[in-house]
Amino acid sequence: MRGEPSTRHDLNILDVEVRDQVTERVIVVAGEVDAANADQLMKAVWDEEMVAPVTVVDLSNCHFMDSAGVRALTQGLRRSKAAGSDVRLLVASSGSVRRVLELCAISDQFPIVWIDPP
Amino acid sequence: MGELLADFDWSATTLGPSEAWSSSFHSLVRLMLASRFPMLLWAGQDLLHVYNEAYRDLLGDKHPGALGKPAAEVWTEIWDTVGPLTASVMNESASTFAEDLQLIMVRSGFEEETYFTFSYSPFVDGGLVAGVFAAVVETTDRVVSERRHRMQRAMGEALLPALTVDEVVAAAIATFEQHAEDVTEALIYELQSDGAASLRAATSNGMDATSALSDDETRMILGASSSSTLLHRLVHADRPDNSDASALVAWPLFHSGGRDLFGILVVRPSVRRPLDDSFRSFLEVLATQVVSAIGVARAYQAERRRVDALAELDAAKTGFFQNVSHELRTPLTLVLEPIHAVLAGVLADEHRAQLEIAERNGRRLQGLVDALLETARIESGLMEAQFEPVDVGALTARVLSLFEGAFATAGLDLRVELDDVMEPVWLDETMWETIVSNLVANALKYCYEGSVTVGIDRVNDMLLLRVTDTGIGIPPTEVSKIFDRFHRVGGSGGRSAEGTGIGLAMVKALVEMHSGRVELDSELAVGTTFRVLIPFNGRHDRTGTTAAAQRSGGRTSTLDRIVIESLSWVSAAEVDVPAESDGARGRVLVIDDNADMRTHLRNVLGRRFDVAVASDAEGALMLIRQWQPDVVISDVMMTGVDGLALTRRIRADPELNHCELVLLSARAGSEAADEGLRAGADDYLVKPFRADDLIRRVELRLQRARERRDARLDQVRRDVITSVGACVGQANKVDSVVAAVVEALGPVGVISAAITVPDSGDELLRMHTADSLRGALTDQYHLMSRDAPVPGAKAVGAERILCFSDTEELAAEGFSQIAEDLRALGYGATAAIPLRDSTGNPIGSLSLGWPDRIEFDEDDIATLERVGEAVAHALMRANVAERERQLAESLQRELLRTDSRSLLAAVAHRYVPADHGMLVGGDWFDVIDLADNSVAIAVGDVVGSGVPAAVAMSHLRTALSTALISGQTLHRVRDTLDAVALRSHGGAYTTVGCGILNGDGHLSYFMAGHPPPLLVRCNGDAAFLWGGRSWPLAASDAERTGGVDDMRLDPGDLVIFYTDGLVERRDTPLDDRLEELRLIAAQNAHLPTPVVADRLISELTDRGRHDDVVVLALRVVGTTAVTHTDVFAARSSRLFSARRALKDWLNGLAIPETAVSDFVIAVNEAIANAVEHGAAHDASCIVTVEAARDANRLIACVRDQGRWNRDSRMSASDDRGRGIQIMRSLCSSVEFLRNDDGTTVTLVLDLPESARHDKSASTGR
Repeated sequence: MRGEPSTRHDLNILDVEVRDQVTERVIVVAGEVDAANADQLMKAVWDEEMVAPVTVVDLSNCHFMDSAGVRALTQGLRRSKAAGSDVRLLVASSGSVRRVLELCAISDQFPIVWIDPP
Repeated sequence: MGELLADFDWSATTLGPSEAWSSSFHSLVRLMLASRFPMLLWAGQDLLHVYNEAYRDLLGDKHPGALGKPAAEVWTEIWDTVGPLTASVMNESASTFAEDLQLIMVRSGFEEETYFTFSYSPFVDGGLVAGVFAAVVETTDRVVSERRHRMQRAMGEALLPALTVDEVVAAAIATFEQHAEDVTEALIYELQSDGAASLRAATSNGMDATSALSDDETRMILGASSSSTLLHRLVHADRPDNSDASALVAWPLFHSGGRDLFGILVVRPSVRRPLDDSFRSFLEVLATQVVSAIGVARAYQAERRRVDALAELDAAKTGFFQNVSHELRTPLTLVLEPIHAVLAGVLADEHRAQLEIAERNGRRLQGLVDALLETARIESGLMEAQFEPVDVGALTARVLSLFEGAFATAGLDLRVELDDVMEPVWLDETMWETIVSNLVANALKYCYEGSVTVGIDRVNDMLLLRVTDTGIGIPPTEVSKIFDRFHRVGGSGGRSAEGTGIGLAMVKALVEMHSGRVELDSELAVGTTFRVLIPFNGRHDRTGTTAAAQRSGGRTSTLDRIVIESLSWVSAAEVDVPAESDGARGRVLVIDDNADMRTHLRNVLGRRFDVAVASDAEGALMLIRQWQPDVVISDVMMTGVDGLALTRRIRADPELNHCELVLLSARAGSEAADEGLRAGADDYLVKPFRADDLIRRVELRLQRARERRDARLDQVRRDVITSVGACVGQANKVDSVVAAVVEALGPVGVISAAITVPDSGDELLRMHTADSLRGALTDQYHLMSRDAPVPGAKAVGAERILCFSDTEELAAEGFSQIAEDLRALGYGATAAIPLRDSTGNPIGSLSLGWPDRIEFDEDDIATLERVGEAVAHALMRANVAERERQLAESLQRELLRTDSRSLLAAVAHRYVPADHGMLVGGDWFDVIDLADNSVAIAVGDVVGSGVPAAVAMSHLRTALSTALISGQTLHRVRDTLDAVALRSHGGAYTTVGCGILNGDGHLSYFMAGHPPPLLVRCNGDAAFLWGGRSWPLAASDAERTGGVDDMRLDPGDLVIFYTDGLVERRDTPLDDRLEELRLIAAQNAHLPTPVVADRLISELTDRGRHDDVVVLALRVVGTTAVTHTDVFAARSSRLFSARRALKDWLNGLAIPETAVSDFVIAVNEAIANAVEHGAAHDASCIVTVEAARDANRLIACVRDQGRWNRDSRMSASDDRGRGIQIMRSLCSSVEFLRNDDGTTVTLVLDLPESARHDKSASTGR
C-alpha cells in the first residue's frame, strides 16, 4: 500500500443495467455509488427519451451509497416523477444503503420496497 | 510606498543613489516593504527615514515629507525622548525596547498624546552599524481606553457609598481630580430657584473658578436637553478667555426620570486627545454615573423624611384611640341604626349589597365590643343569670341549625347526637346558646376535614354536652391556658386570625355560673373534645324570676355574631383578577383574609384602579408573579403567612420585588408601623381608614411604582451597556469579544451572538460565533458573500439596526432560508447591529438572538445601539491586537509555510507562539518533498527572537530546503547549514533536527544540538532517538564526524520532532520533562497525528508557555492493529479504494458490523468533502485519513489542503449540508477545524458496550 499512487486501482465499477419495457423501466444497480460515479446513476435513472409509466430503481445489489449518490438518485427520480412516471425503489433490507436512505429520509419522498437478501 | 521609495532622489542624501546600496540594505528594505507591520529604518549616520506602508499611518501629516529626512528633523518634538535611545543603538550596537511609551507628538495639527510599543535594533551592514531598525506598534487606543475604563470604575466605586447630594458631588469631584488625564477640569453647578446656576464644587484647577455660568450659557445647556431622555446631547461652549482650550462639554443633571433638574456638569476634555465618539461616550458615561448617584441620594433623603413623618402621625393616632375606645358603643349604634333603617326601604341592588356589608360588620364589631363588656361584667360579678326550665335538646338543636350553612361551606359534617327524651333542665337559655355556639365555632375554626360531633347525654346527675372535632388539636403546653381570657394559641393555624380570644373564657365563666365545669381532651392532628358538665339539680340560684324582662337584644346578637363570624372563616380562599386590565389605570392587589374587607376595598379602589384580590399569602404571591401589580395592599393580621412575613418574602425575591407595598393593620402605634416598614413595606395604614385617604395613598404609591419601574428599566439598560463594556473590554480576539457579549447579555435573555466581519480582502464576510451557536449554523454561514440574504451580512454598513420580532418577520423581510434555520433551532427574535469604527466606517455587524418573541421599542433599540458601540470599540481594539498577533503569526507562517504532498506519511505540525507578546520567535520547521518520492522533515530553533532572528531563520530554512531538494546527503546538508549559519547574523548556535523518510521506510536523521526525536511504535513502545547527535550550527570550528544515523520504520510508526519550548521548564530537570513527554506520547500512541500534537502541547505546557513551541508528528502510512493511516491524491476516484482500505481495517477489529458500516459511511462523506470542496478537485493536493481504535470508540481525522474561501452557504445548501448531516447523525462528535493549512474533520463514533474492551489490551501494554 505504501506510497506509490500507481499501485492503487480504481476498482469501483458501477454496473447499471437498464431494462426498458413498454410499461416499466427497471434500472438495476450493482456496486457502490459515490461522488465518482453518481452522475452515471443519475443519467441511467432519468432519460427524457425513455419515460415509462413505471420506473423501478433496483438497489438491492448496491452495497454502498453516499450523499452524492443520494442526490443523483433523488434528482433522477424527481424528474421521472414530474414526467408522470410512477417511481419506486427496491433496497436491501439491511446494510449501509438502507441506513443512508433512512438518514436522508428518502422514504418520505419515494416508495421503497425493502428486499431481504437471498 | 515601494514606488515612492524608488522615485526618491536618494543621490541627494548621504545614503547616495539606491543602485549603490549594499545587498543587505536592499534585502532589509524589501523585507520591510513586504511586511504589513509598521517598520522603519533610520539609515546612515543622519538617520534618514525609510519606512513601509504600515508605518505611514503612524506619521499622520508628517508623510510624505519625512521620507529621506533625518530623524531629528522629523521628530523634533519627541527627539528629547527618542534621540538618546537611537544614540545607544548607533554607538553601542545595543537593541532597545520600549512598551507603551508616552510621546506627545504633532502629526494632526495638535499636540497629541500617543503611546507606542517599539524596539530599536542596530542595522549591521558590512560589520558596521549602518542605521537603526525599528518595529513599531501604536498602542494609544488601548492605553487610553484602559485608562478611561479605570476611571469609570473608580467613579462608580466612589459614588456607591454616597448617600447625600453633598457626598455625591464631593466624591465625583474627587474622582475627577484623581484621574485628570482625560478630563482636566470638572465643575458641578446647582440650579437656583431663580434659574441661575451657581457653582457647587469644582476641581482645584477649575476654570479660574469664577463661579456662575452666564445666563445665556445656562439657557443654552438646559434648552438643548428639553426632552425627557437623559443627556443625549452635548453642548460646546467656546470660552473666549480660554482660547487655547478647544471646548467644554456640559450636561444638565436631571434626576427622577428627567422631571427634576438638579444642576449642570461641565467638564474640559483633554486637548491632547481628539474629541471623538469614544471620548464622548466615555464622558457621557461619567455624567450618567453622577446623575444617577444624585437621583439615588435624593430618593434616599426623601425616604428618610417620609418615614420620620409617618412615625409622628402614628404616635398621635395612638393617643386618639386610647381616648375613644370606651366610647365605641355609642357611635356604633348611631352608625348601625340608620343603615338598618335604609336597608328596610327600597334600594338598588349594588347599594344594598354594600350596606349589608356595612351592617354585617357593624354588628360584628358591636358584638365584639359587647362580648368584651360582657366578659368584663361576668368577671366583675355584675352579671346575673336568669334560670328557667329549658328543653335543652330543642334549644341546642336550634343553635346548631344556625351553623349548618357554615359547615356545608366548609365541607364538614356536623353530627348531632341528642337525647330528646330528657326532662327540662334549669338553665339560662341565652347563656346556653353562647356556650354551645362558642364551642361549635371554636371546633369549626380549627377543623379542616372530617366532622364535628355535638352530643347531649345524661351522666348520673349531670348534663353532659360534648363537642368533638377531628381538627388540628391543641398542643399539650397550651391546654392549661386555653380558658384564659385573651389567650390565643400561638401560630395556631386556625381558619382565621380574627377573634378576641374571649370565647372559651366566656364559656368557662358561664358554665361556672351554672355550677358546672368544662373539661377537654386533645391530641395534635387527631382532634379535640370539649365536655361541659352541669348538675341537673344544681344549687344554682333560682331566684331570678324576671328573666323575660331582663332579656335584651344584645345577647341574641352574640349568637348572630358567632355564627356570622364562623361563616366568614370558612369562605373558600379567593383569588380574583379583573377580566380586563391593560395596566393604564394601575394595578392594585388587595390581600385580606376577611371577605368583607376584600369586597369593600375592591369597591373603594375599583373606581380608580384595576383591582385584584387574594384571600391569603399563597394566592397573593401567585398573583404578584402572574398579574404583576404595581401596588400591593395587604392586611397584617392574617392566618398562615401574615402580612409582615408576606412583605419580607416579596422583598427577598427579586422576581417579586417590583411592587410598592402598603400594609393595613388594626394595630396602631409607631412600633407596629416601624415593624412594617422594617419588613420592607412602603406605607402603613391603620384601620379604620377613610376611602379618600386610601385612594390618595395608593395613587402616590402607584406613581412611585411607575418611577421605580422606569428607573429599573433604565438601570437594566445601563447595566447591560456597562456589563457589555466591562466584558468586552477584556477581549482581545474577535472570538473572545463574541463570547464576552454572550456572557454579558445572557442575563437579559440573549442566547447567541455572532460578529460578522469582512474577510479575504473584504470580498467576503466571516461570521464568528460563540459556542452556543457552533454546529449547524456555523457550518453553513461562517463564510458568506457580502450580499448573502442573512441579517448579519445585510447589517454590515447598514444605516440602522435590523430587528425582527420573530422568525416569521425575518422570513417576511426576505431572509427566508436563515429564518427557517433559526426557527428549527428554537429562536424567536433576532437583531443585527451595524458596527462602525471611530470614523464611522463599517467594520462589521453584531447579530443577537433570543429564544422568545420580542417587540423592540425605541428604548430597546437605543440600548442595542449602545451595545453596538461598546462592541465596535472592543472589536477595533481586538482588531489592533489581532493585527499584532497576525503579524507575528503571518511572518511565522510565511516563514513556516509547508506544502508537502508526500504520500508516505501523515504529518501534522503545530506552531504555538509563547503566551506573552507578539514577538516573532526563532522556532521553525519544514516538510519537504524530495525528488525520489521521499520526504524530509526538519525542526530548528534560532537563538533570540524578533526580526533579526526571523531573518536568520529564513536564511537557514531556505538553505536547508535548497540543499535537500538538490539531492545533497544529510552530511552535506549539515555542512551547508553550518556555512550559512556562520555568515548569517544571529545564525550561530541554531539547533536543527532533520530527517529523511524514503519509500522503503528508512529514516536517516541528524540532530545538530537539537533535543532528540521520539519514536513511538504502534504498540505503545516509546523511545527517544539518541543517534545522529552533534553540536549546534556554527558552534565549533571542529570538523563534524559521523552524526547521521539510520533506522527502519514500520507502517503506523510515529516520529515526533519538537523544539525545546515543549519540554523546558525552569523548575523541572530536563530528564524528567523528557520522560513526561515519552509517557504522554505512549499513552496517545495510536491517535491521529493532529490529536497527538495537540495533546502533547496542552498537557506539557498546561502551566503556560514561556517560549514558542513546535511539534511535528509524522506517522508512516499503513495499517496496524489499532491504527489506519492513508494518504492519497484528492480525486473522487480514490473514494472507493480509501473506503475499502478503511473497511478492511475495521473488519479486523472485531466490532459490530453496523459500527463498521456507519463509520465507513461517515468517513466517506468527510473524504468526499475533502476532495470536492477542500482540494477543489486539484488532484495534486492530498487527502490524509487517519483512523484509530480507542478503547471504546473509533476516531478519525480527515484532512485536506484547501482554504475555505468561498461562500460556505452555497456549498452547504445541497450535498455538503447533507453530508454533514449524515456525519452528525452517525457519529457522537463531528468537529471541523479550518485554518490556512486546510480543513481537519475529526469524527468520533462511540462503540456499543459489548464491543468495548480494555484499551491496554489493544495497544499491547
